[in-house]
Amino acid sequence: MLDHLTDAENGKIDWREFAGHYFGEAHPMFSQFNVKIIDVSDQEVKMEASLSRDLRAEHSEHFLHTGALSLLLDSAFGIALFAHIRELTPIATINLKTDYLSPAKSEAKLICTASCFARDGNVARMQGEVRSYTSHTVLAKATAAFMIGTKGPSFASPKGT
Amino acid sequence: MTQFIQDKPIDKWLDISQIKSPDDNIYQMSASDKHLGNPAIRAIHGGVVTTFMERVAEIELSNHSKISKDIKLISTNVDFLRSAKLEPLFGSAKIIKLGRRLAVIDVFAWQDKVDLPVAKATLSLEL
Repeated sequence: MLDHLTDAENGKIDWREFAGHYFGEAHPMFSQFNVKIIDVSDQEVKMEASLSRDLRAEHSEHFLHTGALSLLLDSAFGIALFAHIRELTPIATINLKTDYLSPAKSEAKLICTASCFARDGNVARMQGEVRSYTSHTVLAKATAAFMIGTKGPSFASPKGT
Repeated sequence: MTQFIQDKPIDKWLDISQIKSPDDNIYQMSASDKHLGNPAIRAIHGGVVTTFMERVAEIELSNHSKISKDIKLISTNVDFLRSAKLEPLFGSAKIIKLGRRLAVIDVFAWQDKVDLPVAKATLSLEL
């Protein structure tokens, strides 16, 4: 079922294409993120996003609710971890700590980077940040721990595609 | 008594309501497909759970009689304890510290039973 994401020559998953599919229009929530994948490697994921006005904190302002940045970072961590371990085994967030440094505007272009900086057995440690595309100001920084190999189907299962 | 809280865009997106009881304020998020993380397991995205818990803390703090200032979230630390199914999610907050400039709030979120939380968060907020 991942045939369309797999390189025919070496059978490996094209992680950039997978990330595009993951954040694509088929997903009811990620489709509101307007994600454009810039780079995916086992070292780092980098992407552009502009989040919907529906995620604003106030009607009268353009700023996103802080939780929207945690949403983006947690999602980027998932992609970064898949690309790091090079398999679509089920994963789950154990914990997530986000520091909110500056307000982010809705519909403004954001740059999100995420990477796995340590792994001990089935526990992976992730770090990432969201910056303004125009000013490069850091808007939020996060760290998280993920469990690798949890129960249940992965994103590779038919319903997950 | 259930009171819908949809005066902010994020509350409408989360579909939050407040269930008032004599002892405690309980908040409810009505989960729908737009809140899904992995569609294969029909689970609410961890970032959505986080956003809901942040709103629970902010609403609880703004409802507190002594608070009339703007509230700014400094940081959120969430432990995910169980998978959150695509079913109503409940939350309640406890104000741990309320100073002149800083508040620290614990939030629990659960689904089937209050003693089986799906997530626990500690939030630091600037007043």
